[in-house]
Amino acid sequence: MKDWKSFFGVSSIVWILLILFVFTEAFARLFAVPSELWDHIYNFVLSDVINNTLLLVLLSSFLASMIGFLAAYIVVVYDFKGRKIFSFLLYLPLAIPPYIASYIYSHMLGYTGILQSFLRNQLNLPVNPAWFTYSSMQMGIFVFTITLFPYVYITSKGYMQKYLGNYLETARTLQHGHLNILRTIALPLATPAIFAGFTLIALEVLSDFGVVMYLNIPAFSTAIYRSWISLGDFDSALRLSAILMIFVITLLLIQHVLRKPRSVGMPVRIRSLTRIRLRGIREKLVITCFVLVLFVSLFIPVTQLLLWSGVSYANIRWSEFGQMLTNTLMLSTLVSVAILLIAVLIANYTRLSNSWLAVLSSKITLLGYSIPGSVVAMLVIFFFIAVKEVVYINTQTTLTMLGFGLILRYLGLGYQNIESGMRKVGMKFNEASRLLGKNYGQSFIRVDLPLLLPSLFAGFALVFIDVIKELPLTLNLRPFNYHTLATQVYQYASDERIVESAIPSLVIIMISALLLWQVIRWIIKEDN
Amino acid sequence: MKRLYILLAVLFLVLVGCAPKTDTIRQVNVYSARNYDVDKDMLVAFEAETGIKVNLIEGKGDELLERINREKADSVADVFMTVGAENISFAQQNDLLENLDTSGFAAFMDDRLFGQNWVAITQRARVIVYDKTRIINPTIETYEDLLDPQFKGKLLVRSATSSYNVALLAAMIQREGVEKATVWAQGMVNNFARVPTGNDRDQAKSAVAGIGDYAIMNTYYIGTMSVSSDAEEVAVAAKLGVIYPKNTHVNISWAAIVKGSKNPSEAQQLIEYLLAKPQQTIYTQKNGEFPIRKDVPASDLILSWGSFEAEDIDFEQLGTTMIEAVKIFDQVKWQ
Repeated sequence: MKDWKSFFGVSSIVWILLILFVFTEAFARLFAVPSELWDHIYNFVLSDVINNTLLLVLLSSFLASMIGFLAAYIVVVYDFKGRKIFSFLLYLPLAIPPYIASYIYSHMLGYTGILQSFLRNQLNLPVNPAWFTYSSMQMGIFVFTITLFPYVYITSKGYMQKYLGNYLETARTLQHGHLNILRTIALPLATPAIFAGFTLIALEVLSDFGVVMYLNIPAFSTAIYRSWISLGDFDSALRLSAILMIFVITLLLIQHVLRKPRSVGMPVRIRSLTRIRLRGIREKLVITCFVLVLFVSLFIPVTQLLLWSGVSYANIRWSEFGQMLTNTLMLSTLVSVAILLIAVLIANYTRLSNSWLAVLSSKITLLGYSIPGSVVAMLVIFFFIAVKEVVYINTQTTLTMLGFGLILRYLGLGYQNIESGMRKVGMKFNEASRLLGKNYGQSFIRVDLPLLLPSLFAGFALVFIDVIKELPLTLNLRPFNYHTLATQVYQYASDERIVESAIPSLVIIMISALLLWQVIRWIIKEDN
Repeated sequence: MKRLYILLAVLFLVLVGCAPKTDTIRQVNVYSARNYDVDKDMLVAFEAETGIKVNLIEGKGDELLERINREKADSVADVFMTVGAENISFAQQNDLLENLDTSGFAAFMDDRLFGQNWVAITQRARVIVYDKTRIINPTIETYEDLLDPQFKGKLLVRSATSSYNVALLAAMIQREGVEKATVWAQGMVNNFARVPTGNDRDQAKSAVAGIGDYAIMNTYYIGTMSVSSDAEEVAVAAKLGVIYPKNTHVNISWAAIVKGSKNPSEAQQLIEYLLAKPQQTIYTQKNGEFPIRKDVPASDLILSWGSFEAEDIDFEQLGTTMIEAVKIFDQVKWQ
């Protein structure tokens, strides 16, 4: 047992040290003498950046959490026409990368977009383009809300399905009203689950590059990019990244505290829910709301992409498409598998050890997930150059570097899934197995691993979906002649040819949706 | 336990195995910020004609340059191609460029368009556009005319993060000095129709939509809009009137051989190929850019906007005023 603990401990700490080594480069800047330009950034840029980032992150995470939680609550507690289909479809917006959604909606609402041109040309209405203006902040919040709410939907749905039953029956016996149950029972009960989803959304928004760049929102990732690229001041860029990381660590620590089990123990026996059948106006209202949410988050973007694919089909280069697709799939698979392996090691360590080192290790995995990919890319290059001074390695950007960078970047996401899966499984099966004479490792592989399969698969799929759409790391670290679907989308979009980016975008969405579909089937099976 | 080690070992080997092999065929490694389909087709054609294999990494110009700088000790890139002269000085200061054989260039191009270790491949003008079906006789003749109070709430331009705007202001600083450039930027902000949003095409569309009257954009995008897959964009391009202001800001797309290049002769050959007549014709006809050769006429679309007088700036120095430009944008709150 002790051997196993140290095995997992050592292998986790090796990784953690590696991550820390990569990120100290950024933290070290906080204590170094600032560059000349820092004064300028501090005076004219920093406060805007902090305000905008906070506004964007808090509002989008809040709105997305609200939609996600309410949708989960309704699907869990009530029964209505189409409940099963809705409860399934609500996962799918996760397949749409936020930056692609931002391209689509900006373009659609624009003067040449389908909406205005339809009103103008087909209906001959006098359309005032001013009706369709919006600030980039509004668009950013909108895009993140509609693409990321499934995170909270997933976490809170699973949680409520499991634990709400017991309380709900009692509340109903006591004749509590609908809203009262929602407010006094479901919401407090699901808070840890909501906050887990909220954190994922917040991290996703904080590290986003595509949306804020495209919409030109002065947030951390744009400021970091600008200091580094436009001002050529890598030092200040790292300093900004370090400040961002402090935000992130604070957020993670808050989540850690909130997640602590409450003093009232969870009921051991899980009672299944009897759903309340909605009828009449209530049923219609619920269905209308769901249709609306799905229309905006799924149907409209996909339809628009299909329409654009139709017109741009002849104008895109097809010769490299097959290779691009293979690259995308290979890279995403390799990275996801690697992340799962490392995550399993670290999760075992935190399971076996309650030391502060273990807790810290688990938090550190999330660092990469929360800072912009372009910063991770730079740090990875630094790291490889540093390593080269000790042993000879190839520092030319290769798939090794890209793979390493992507692992650093998304380890946290995979880890969170494995860890929560392990917490659900607990130690009891492993202990029982060890009582029967197997050692920890054998017990883990024979007993825990099969139980963890859904979490492993979910982790795999979520990481895969993130890697497949990843931009800055892939752009910065990819080797020669290496294109992925995402780089192709980006290339068309940065040349202001959004319509041509439709086909690769659609393929990314389809692959992600297929994977999600599998995960959803697992999740639904498990939830029930 | 054992299995875990084996899995880890396999993973390591797979990752290491992905490193590309090096071989001895004639090849040229290109870092390019010209991510256009036209360019890719051209590189494929070069490969077919010369038998030199072209390896390509695409990205944004400054990112690629940053990368070349990091790889300096053990450089892999042979040719660097980008859009915008503003990073020539960074490349030169960091000693990233190898000398070119420029001996033949003066025969067909202006000597402003090449230096010891760089050469322009195309040019684009940053002009003022308006809806010619709505505004019949525009009175604007200079960039400064836009500051007139009568245009309050009428100007459309993209954000300060756009490298095109940074280059425009950096060039203005070089020509007129920091003070005048600041006044110009501040005056523009005062007359904005809205907080800058969207890309160059969006500015043109908004001008046609009537959200503002005058928009600043690159000619390149008018060209690509006029052949867009989207019929609505083609319609917008057809309505655009183009004003070449006095001292029109013309930026270049340029190429260079990277210091430490292991295939310098192939690199030179590729650059010369891009400067040749057929390629220059393709650039202007298919990609809406201005050719750099005196003996290649611009496309009919470009010629239809009339002639203009380009600003006379030193491209090698453009980068030195760039940081000042970014600072001014921040100071006047040009988002």
